[in-house]
Amino acid sequence: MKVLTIHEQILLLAIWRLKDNAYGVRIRQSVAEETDMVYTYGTLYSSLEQLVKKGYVSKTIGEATAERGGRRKIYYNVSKEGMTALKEAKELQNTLWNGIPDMIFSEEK
Amino acid sequence: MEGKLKKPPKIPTWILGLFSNPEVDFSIAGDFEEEYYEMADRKGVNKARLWYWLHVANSVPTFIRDTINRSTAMFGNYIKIAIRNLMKQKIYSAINIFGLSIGLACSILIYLFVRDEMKFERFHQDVDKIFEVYSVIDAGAYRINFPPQLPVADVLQRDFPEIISATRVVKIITPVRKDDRIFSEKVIASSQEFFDIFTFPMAQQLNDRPLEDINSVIITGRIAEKYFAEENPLGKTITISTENRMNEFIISGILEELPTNSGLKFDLIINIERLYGDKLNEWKENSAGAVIKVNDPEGYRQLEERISNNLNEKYSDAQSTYHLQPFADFHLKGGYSYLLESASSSRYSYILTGIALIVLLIACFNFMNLAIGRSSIRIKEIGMRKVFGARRKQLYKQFWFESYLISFIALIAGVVLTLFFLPAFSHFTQKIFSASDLFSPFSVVVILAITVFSGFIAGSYPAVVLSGFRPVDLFKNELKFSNRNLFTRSLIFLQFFITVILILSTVFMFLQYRYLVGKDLGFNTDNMIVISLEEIPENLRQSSGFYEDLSGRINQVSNVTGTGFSGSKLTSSVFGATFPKLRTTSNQVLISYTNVDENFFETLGIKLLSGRNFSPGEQNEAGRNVIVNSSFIEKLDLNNSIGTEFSEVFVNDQGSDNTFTSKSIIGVTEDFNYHSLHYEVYPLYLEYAPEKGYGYIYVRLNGENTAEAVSDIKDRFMQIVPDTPFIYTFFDEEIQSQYALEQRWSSIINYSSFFAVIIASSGLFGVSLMSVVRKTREISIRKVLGSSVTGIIKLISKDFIGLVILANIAAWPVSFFIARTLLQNYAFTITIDFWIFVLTGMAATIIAGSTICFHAVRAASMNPVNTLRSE
Repeated sequence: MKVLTIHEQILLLAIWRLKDNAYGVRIRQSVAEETDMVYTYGTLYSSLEQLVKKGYVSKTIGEATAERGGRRKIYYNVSKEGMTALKEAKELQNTLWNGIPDMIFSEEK
Repeated sequence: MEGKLKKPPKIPTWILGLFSNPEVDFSIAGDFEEEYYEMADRKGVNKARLWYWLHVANSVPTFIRDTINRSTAMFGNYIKIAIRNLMKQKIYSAINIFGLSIGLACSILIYLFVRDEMKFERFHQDVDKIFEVYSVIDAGAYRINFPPQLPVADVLQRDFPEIISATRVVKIITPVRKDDRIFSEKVIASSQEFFDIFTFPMAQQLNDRPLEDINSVIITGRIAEKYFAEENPLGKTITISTENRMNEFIISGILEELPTNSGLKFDLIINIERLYGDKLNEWKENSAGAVIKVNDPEGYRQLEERISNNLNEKYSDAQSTYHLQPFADFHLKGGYSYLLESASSSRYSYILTGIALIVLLIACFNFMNLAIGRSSIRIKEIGMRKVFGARRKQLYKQFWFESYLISFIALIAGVVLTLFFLPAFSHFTQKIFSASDLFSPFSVVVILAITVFSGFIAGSYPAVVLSGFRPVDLFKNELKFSNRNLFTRSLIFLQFFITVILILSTVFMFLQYRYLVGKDLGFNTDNMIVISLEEIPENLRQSSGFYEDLSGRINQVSNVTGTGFSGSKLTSSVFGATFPKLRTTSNQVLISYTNVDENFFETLGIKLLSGRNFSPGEQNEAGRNVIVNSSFIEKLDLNNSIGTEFSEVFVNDQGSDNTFTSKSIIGVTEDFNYHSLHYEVYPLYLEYAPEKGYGYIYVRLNGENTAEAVSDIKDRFMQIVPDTPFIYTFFDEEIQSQYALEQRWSSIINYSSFFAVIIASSGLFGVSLMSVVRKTREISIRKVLGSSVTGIIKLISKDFIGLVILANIAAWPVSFFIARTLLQNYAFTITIDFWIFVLTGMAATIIAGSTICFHAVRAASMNPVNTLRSE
């Protein structure tokens, strides 16, 4: 079973959250707001294309808009496979953490 | 966002486009721009620009990593597709690879030749600083270059501090003897400075300055092997004939093997003082080459002028102008050189490079034609790729990749071919090439560049044109790629145009060569040997009765039917050329002369038209009676020839006339070609003057037991002149060797047009095969409707045959021009007949026709049932 990496989870969740507005600028912003992780566009698109290749994400090409110098946006959408993978990741997370009390962290302090 | 807002900086935007993934690049650029404007709004333009720059810089490493990952993945895909295409179309791939490999092999061979030519004399250190001094005598009507007077080199070294080193060099050919081995060798007389100027490394030497001693001699490895075999010659003695005496020299050095691309040819070097002694300070004779090495090669023009002025001011004997010849330039750029032999011309390199390019281009045309022909098959593939989002750039890459792949396969085959032809190529270029020349780093780079170049050219049409169509058109099949396609037709036309020009050049060169070696020269060269008497010491030659003794002894040999003497050799370029005016006429005529004996005419078979031959012991004062050729009579307008008297008038440097003894014509011969056929037959007179001595003896044999007869003659020759090498040639071979250059070029052109024909025909073979395949249904239907086999053959071949005939006719004027230019080098030529063009044209058409007919006949004889059933 393939497990999503943390990076992939972050991106997929950001895309899901943004719904119909999931394109480069917004995804980057959203990720930065939620997690304090700042991607460069290089890394962002590299990872997005990986997700597309794996089938977790689909893309649609949007209309041209003036504020982008007439360039079209690529919108990303979490696919069915993406949702399944997210669900599996979450379940795995829960299983792993099941029965482990939060106090293990406070003990270390 | 106001439109007035400053746009994002251009450079990073450009970098972005360069590196980002082509599938999403527009979106990335858009994201950048959007965020840039946002930031500019909030924090100001400068901050935004800074962010833009930094962010692009940060992103680039990822972009590059991605690009590499992507392209290796695509690379694998390209290879897979390319190999599949190659395998699917075996015949076309074979034609392509075959043609390109021959084209590449030709290019590689010619590259080797040109590289060798460029490297002539370049092995000398600081060769750009080496100059040869020569003097020019300007007598108004003619200018002659001479090596300067003997003291010049010494004087220059003394008077000019910028001349680092200077030496004089004299070249002689003289007998060299060790025990019973005696041969004529090329000897150079010079001084120790010779080795300061030139770079000829020593394999062994007795001391640091091996040429210092007056009795020393330095020999090449070839001489060491020839005269000493296993022995080490260092410190041994060898006998060299100098100034007509046999002198002993001590071998003080042995040179390493001389580079083949050296124009300075010699076997031994002796000290010039030994040769000339006290004469070295005499200004009388123009007789020694002078070489200098200067510290500032750029300013040699000024130095040249100062040398002339200085010599003329200080030395009253030095009355001529002096010039400097850059040593390394002589081989390709020409000029004057006393020292260097192998003058070539950069023209040959250009012509050869042109030929290589032509053959390569014909092969590339094949590739294009076949690619276009196949495009109707590939068009669906291209359409599918486009529909699935392939960008034009990617299709470019794929097509070029395929053509590069073919080029590289062809390169491997081409290198194998090159190695196979290398020995033959070395033989007829008279250079030494080895496989290691091919694999030197620089050569590898050049060869790869040629390969990439041909791959690029070959792939350009399919890549640029086919990738440009819109997918919709591709599927609608609206594009017609048939043999009617203008581009294909012009390529076939060009191929045959070039090929026919090459064939016609070959034919004319061959016919001219055959004419040159076969022409009746006015004398008979069969079964004749020519023995050189020039190496015989002067004192011996001047002893009375020497020549009678020699010819008498040779005539005693059975199988010898006659002998004749002449002063200079028939066909040699120095057959006594002079520049006299004749007393009888006012015009100045170029006249040749030499002295012969009374048997000369009969032995050589030269016919007397009128008058009489010399009689033995002709009573006349110093060659007064002469026999002239017909051209002499014609050019000088002498009507009543026999008994006419004339005297030669030389115009000397001062412009005054020097008149010589008058001559009287006693006989007239037919014109015979005493020079090679490059020259017309100039006026010639032959005098009877045995006291001047003869340089050559012609011996006619009866053709039986030739080898035995020659060795018999040699024995008798050695009895009289024991210290002289017996140098003889077969006269007919010697005549032929005058045209060695013609023979070499004729075979080079011959080979290249042969390859051109093969490549062009194989291309036509492929294109016509495609045309037949495409027309299979049409042909079948025509057959069903009653068309005859000949009708179908006509249908298929008429287009191509028409093209070939058109190419022929277009090639004729160009070939005519080339042939005329070629033939301008000769005074005696074949005529450029129209039927040669027609015959060659027919031959080319038949070759082309038969390749097409092969398919046409097959197509026409197919059973229509089989082809139509599949519908």
